[in-house]
Amino acid sequence: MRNHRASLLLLGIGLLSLFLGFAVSVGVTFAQDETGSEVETEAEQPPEASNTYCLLCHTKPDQVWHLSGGESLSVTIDPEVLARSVHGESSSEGALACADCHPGFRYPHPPTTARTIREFQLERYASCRTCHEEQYTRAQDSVHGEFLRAGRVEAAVCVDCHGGHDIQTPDVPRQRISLTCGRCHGAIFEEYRTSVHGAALLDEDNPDVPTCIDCHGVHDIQNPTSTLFRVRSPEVCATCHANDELMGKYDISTHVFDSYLTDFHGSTVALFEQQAPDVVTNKAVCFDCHGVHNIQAVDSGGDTAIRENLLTTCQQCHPGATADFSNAWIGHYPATLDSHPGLFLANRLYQILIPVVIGILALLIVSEIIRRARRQSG
Amino acid sequence: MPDETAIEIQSGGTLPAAQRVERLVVIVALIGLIITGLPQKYTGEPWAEFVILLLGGIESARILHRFLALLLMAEAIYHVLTLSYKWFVYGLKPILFPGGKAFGQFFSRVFQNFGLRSDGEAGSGFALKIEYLVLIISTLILIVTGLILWNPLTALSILPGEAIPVAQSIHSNHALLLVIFLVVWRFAIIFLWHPQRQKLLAERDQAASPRPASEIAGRRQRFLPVALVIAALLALGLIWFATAEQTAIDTVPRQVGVVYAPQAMPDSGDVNVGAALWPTLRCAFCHGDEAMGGPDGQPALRNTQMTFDAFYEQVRVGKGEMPAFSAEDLPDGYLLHLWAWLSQPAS
Repeated sequence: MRNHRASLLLLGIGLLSLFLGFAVSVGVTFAQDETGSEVETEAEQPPEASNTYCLLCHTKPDQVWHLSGGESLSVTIDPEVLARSVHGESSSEGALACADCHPGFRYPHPPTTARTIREFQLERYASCRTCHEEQYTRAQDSVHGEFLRAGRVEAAVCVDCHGGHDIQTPDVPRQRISLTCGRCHGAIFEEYRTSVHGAALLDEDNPDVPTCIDCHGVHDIQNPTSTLFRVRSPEVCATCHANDELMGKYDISTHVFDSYLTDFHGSTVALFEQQAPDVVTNKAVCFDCHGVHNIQAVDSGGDTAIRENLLTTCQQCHPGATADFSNAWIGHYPATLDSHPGLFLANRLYQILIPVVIGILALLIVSEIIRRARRQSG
Repeated sequence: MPDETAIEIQSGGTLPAAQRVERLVVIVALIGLIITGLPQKYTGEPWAEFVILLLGGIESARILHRFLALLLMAEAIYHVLTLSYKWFVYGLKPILFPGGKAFGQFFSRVFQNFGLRSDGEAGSGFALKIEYLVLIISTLILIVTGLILWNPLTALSILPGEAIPVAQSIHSNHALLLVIFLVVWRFAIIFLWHPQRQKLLAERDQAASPRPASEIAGRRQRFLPVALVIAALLALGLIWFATAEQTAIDTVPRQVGVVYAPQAMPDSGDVNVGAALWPTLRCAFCHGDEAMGGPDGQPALRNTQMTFDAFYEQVRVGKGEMPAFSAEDLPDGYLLHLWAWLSQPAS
């Protein structure tokens, strides 16, 4: 019995020695408390946390960090994925070290107060600022930053759009942009993908159609429901639709923007934008008539549909509008004798009348002056 | 015609107070309409934007423009009634209404200026008469087109849709034409022609036959009730036209939609979205750029015969060396699009 106890004691000492030996060989030891936070058990300072060092543990499958809220955060890293990310070994600027983004995360890891994965992400995303100060600051001023400060934890931070260890060039391929936004804005993405812009991007890989960021911006995305965004939106559309070279490829007239600005709606909105951008105006902007994310080609439903849609569109703001009212809209193109003879003739009449009257009046004044001069000299 | 002279010209050649007020109203209304109207025609021009800013913004400018238009229309009604009064009660014709003689004077003057006719005293009464005629015609044009633009829905109950842009074109172009005419014509009146209003009055009075006082009193009694009714009806008409129609709603309704909506499962997968998704996912690292298999024997995925449920299960749980992908990595909606594309044979 005594021999048996001695054998167990020796076995225990042996196992303990083995464990301590292993622990010393990697330089640190740790234990996990009930909350999942790691606590230091040895005073010795860990060595510099190289990628190789971190990946000793983090390449092991099923590595998870149990957070106090009950969620498990996977901390297994695929070295291949990391290497192929923009921060990995394939980067022309050289690979980042794990500690560059996780400063102070040497082993044993410091405890975290995060109770959920989201809290952990929000705790950590500011590390991007170290290298991407400008983008980070702009993002703070964006609608996402605004919502985050208001307590909406789902508002996107850096990693939500760019990823964590698998960060790729955000606009390659170009579809990645809208697919990224679509992760959180799924309902809007579903509208966009069937729109004239979205279908061209996703179905045809068209490089000219706008992705989300072309209209909303990248990091300093402003609240699209704001008054300022509304009055500035025609300029957003004009970025492409007033570009002769770009529109020429699709046989779309750039006159659409000019005609809008000279129209009752457009001229009002332009003035509001310049003089009172924070004041709400009830005049229509491009998306009030053409739709926001579900924009279709104007002729997509044929001539009858255009007229029917136009009336429905007008009635959104002019509830008493009749078919004649929508006929008052001559479109974004100059009137011709065939399309709008009355307007064409009225314009033409004054194009002739005004110079003729000016000419006659000028001639009259000149002749009066000559007459006076003649009388004075005579 | 001592009575009539008292109406038109007081001693010293000044206009009676009522006419001076009338003239002031016309001048204020016309200048105001020009100041509030022309910048609206040239909204893209810096000077126009500056004027609009001074007026308190475009909406203020439009309200002011409409108020001044109402003032001018009210003055026009008053003017017509007073002219009718003078004509019906006293038998006096309007002195400024041009006849053939005024145009004869005008052309004589022009011919003389160019030496086509010997210099003589052609007279300058034509200047006021032609100006008056132009003002009457232009005011009518601007009032009619302005009312169409003010109440497009009502106007279109009797007019075709194209009437609106036509009215807008005529209104803005004709206003410009009137401004040009008035500026030049007034310059000529003040500095060149010097027409005598008193002379016109004298000419008219010579031609008029005076009516006995009893007839004047009788006509006045008959005129006033009728004029009152007409004035009341026209005033009511003006008020109705100014307030009858609300063309547009005050505030454009905001677009309502769910902004934050993580990808949910769509009704069906979109092959094109799946194709666009593939190169953005890290699946391509192992399974190849076209999902036709990886260099280390990872299986080709195109033309997969897996059901969506089986596919979903494998992606979410993982299999062998393939790690699991959470909904954060690959949302449900995207998974269906991806499966739709993978189910298609490679082209």
